[in-house]
Amino acid sequence: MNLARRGFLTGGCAFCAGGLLACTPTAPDGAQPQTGGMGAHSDLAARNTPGVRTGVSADADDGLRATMDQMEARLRTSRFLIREPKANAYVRRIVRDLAGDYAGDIRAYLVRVPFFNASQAPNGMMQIYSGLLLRCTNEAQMAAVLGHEIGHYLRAHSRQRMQDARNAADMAQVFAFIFAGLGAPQLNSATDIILTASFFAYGRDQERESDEIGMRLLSQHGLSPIEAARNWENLIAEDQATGISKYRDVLRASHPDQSERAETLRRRAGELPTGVTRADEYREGIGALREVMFEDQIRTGSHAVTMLIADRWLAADSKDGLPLYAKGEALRQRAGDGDDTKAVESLAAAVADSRAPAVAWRSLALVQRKLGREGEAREAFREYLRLAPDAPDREIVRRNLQG
Amino acid sequence: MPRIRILLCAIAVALSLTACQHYASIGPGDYDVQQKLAVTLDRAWNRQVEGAGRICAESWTSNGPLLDMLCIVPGVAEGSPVIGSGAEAPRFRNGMTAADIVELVQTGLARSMQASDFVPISIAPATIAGREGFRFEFKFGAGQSAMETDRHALGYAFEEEKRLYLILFHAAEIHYFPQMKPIVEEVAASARLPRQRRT
Repeated sequence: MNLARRGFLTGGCAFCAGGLLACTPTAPDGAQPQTGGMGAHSDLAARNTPGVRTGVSADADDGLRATMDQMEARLRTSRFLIREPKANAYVRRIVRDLAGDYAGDIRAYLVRVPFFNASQAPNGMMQIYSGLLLRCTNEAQMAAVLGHEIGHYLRAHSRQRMQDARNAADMAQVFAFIFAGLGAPQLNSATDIILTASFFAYGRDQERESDEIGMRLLSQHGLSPIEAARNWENLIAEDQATGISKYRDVLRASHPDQSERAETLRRRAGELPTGVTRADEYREGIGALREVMFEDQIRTGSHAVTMLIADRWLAADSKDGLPLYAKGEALRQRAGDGDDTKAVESLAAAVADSRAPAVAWRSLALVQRKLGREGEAREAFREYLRLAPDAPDREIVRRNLQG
Repeated sequence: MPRIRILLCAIAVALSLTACQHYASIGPGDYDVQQKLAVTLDRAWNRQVEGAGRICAESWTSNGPLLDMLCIVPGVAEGSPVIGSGAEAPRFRNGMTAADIVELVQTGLARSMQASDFVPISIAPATIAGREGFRFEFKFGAGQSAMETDRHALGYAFEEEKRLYLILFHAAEIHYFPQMKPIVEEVAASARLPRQRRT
């Protein structure tokens, strides 16, 4: 598997012109990148050389790399950086395996942001949002995104984008300085968005190239390529559930249309070996993060999306207490017609499973009380206090029990 | 030349945005929050009169909104947003519990100022404006990159005639929260409904 993947990467480099060709020996199996149903990508050669951080324009690259290195240094100390060792080791191993000879050049960071996104900077910094990890339910789905991001790195897409956007970056720094002086944090965040969008908004052809590279890496890793299409189908379902297209925003305005993308990926997957999903390995690898990721998702207030994500996890394990809790809590908070009854069903099933958090008992108690089932509500409140004696709201709950 | 144009453009946009941010000095003394909740201030605050940055009905700051912010929500009705605005802003519903209201506040902060990593400290019964309500505290992170800060929030809430009253203060955890906490506690202790006289 590794050989085949390395064959793709190094074989791809064999297409490079000039000096790059000299440093990338052709793989023993002589594998060459093949174009499939993704359009006219006659050449998906890697434009970076493993272990080499120089680019086509040394002067420009030095400044851009310094900027990215500065951002990476900030990220390393950010409170939003996920430091849980097992999940980090798991995701980094997947990145390393997919990147092959480029493993040493790409540094993956898990970031606690409850939205679907990942980004690859030209200095090798890859950011993977927790919202993406929560939305994937198997290794193949996550690897599809990681492979796509690695594709951007191999093809040096962001380097060109950053050179184009360098003036925009300077302008954003001016904005940041001025707005900080004005004391307007929300505007400063907006400049961050502008800056990020400048860096990572690739062209459609670049996205299609990276999709193709991601599909090939998936396939060469023995993973199911159809899962790449499922990622996009899941996002389309989220958009339809909320009526808001979150994934056609400023950061992704240049991406191909979601439906087109899902369809193209599905067609391309039909040309590749079926592969495996590795759902159990994924659940084990990121398991320690699931509770906090579900809590963050609940807190976004997008109840329909929370339910969709929960259902996705429940499709694999209908007794899993964590998504059952998330679904029940989303229903309880939405409180639409019939939601309370459905919330009780979901929360009662959740608390029967040891993976549900203690707070599921409180949610169950609250909705039971709302439905007038006072005895059951009291029992659930007591169980909540027994499981979480130091809960921050213990005084309020005790008062509820006395009342 | 292009750099100069960009700089001029940035300054022009910044100046146009500064025009959207109005602050007026209030206090010391008694202050009526939209004639729905009265407080007594022992110092001056900067009240944001209008602008895109305002995330609640009344937004005050002592040292600048990057460092501290006091939000006062004086009696919102069923279905109204509490923190933040827009179609997806979390809204108050009758029958919400204390935990629900704290989560609603956190969701509002998450959506309006990219807050995350909420760490609950306490939710406890308290009397506010002579009404049975609750007091809460939590920590969180906000902002991005260089502007990322650890923040600490302190809040008070109660319901009266199916309306939610909220006093929410959050500030940089280092220096500003401990400095301002007793001042905010005094403001909360002075809160009263307009028909009440201060004792």
